[in-house]
Amino acid sequence: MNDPNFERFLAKLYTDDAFRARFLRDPAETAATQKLTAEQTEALAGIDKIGLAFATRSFAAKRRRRSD
Amino acid sequence: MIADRFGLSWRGKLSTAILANRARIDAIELIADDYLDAPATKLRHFRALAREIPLGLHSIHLGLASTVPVSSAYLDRIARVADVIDPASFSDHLAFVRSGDTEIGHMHAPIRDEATLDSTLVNLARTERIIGRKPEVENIATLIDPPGCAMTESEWLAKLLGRCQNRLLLDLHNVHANAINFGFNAGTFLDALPLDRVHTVHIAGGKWIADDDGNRRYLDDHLNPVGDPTYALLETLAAKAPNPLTIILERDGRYPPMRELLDELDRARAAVTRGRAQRERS
Repeated sequence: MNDPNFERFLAKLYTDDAFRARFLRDPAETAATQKLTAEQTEALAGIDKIGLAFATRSFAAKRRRRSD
Repeated sequence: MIADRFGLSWRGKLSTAILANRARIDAIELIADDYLDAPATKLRHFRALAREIPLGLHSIHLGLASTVPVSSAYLDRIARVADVIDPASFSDHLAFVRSGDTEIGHMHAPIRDEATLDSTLVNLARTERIIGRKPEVENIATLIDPPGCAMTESEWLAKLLGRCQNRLLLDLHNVHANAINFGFNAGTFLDALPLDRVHTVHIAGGKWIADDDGNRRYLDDHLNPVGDPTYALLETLAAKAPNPLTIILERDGRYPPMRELLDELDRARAAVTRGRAQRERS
């Protein structure tokens, strides 16, 4: 299931606000544009959205602290 | 009697107080990533310290639990630090931290499936080859239930450890945080792991965070005192783990007076003493 393309998608999901907004509007279409497999697309359709929001904020804060 | 050790993570702002309280600190842990560009003279200072007190070298950015190979350039830089300091142990996390040029900013929980497991084993072997030490691997805390997992966290960890000889650096606060965020029993989690592979333990504190809709998650922030559930898990672990343990208290900011950190170490000692007593009785 996991592969470098799926991890690339996740890294973009956590770090790119516009990409994440597009994903939350239409997960399947966004996954299709990144050539994810059907299994990966299905996994993303059920993503923990509350956790995604918390994790995204936490990662952003860490990135800000590291760049300070 | 098992000779357990109790120590602190080395932080610049704590260094003077750590050295002044060596009688109550049995071990220290140094973040390798903070010293990648340090001059050799500074690293030799830590080498001298490592000869006086067990020093664990800990890194946070390798990204071991990923389908992407760990960066050779980064491993070379860590190896330079490790070669000079000659630490008692070396460790990093079971996490994925980057993809290509995109740095996530912190550690993301691994996608717990066979593909990640296979590539993690390759990364562990590569890390050992370049750094010259078998890394201890640490379980991480996560705010998101990672998508696409085929196994629970304990199943994935046990399976990984069944296919390698690396030690598990068991972070009990991470176990506690994941247990309350994702609804599993922390004690049952410990029972699923090969505790004979645990030699180093992390303890830390955290806090609840909430969003505007009232949803809550528990954050492993290393900015708060160790809580009762983590001491209870430490007691449980000490009752079951056969090896001497080095327990490291992690604190990354909002530093209290050193006496408060030493009090936390004393509470950890008391928890381990109770656990070891249970182990002897059984």
